[in-house]
Amino acid sequence: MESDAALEDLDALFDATGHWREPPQEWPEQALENKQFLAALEECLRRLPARTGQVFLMREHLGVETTEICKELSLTPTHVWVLLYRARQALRECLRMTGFGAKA
Amino acid sequence: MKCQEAAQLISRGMDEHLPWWQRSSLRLHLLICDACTNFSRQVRLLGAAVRRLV
Repeated sequence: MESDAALEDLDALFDATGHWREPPQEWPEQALENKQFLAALEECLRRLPARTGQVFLMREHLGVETTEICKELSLTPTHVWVLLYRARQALRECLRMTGFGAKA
Repeated sequence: MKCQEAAQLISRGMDEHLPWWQRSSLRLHLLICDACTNFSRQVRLLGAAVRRLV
């Protein structure tokens, strides 16, 4: 069972005062047209824990409402929003590691 | 509002309707915080990018 309903591991993104350790940088809007960016994103999606990736794709790729996701997967609303938040943070971090969003 | 809380609200706000007091304190935070403004743009761009993938 994935222990994915907690936010503890995401706390590492922030310092004790709640500030970003690595403040997000500006991404170029053209990233959407950038094949490398899209390929890196696909790879990062594959690295997400199964349930996290499933919920994120249902929401963002298929546009399913969170209430529907809860029903479909028998998850609580809190669990769903935590999974979506985790997915977004994990994808950003993964893309940052591959060189996107680093200081130019 | 701390960035940590702002980031969570930004994400939640993309999926559900936030109460007005959360929306207004988030908006105030975004006015003064470049990092969270960038975060907000990044996660929106992530959504747009994922919709382009087949």
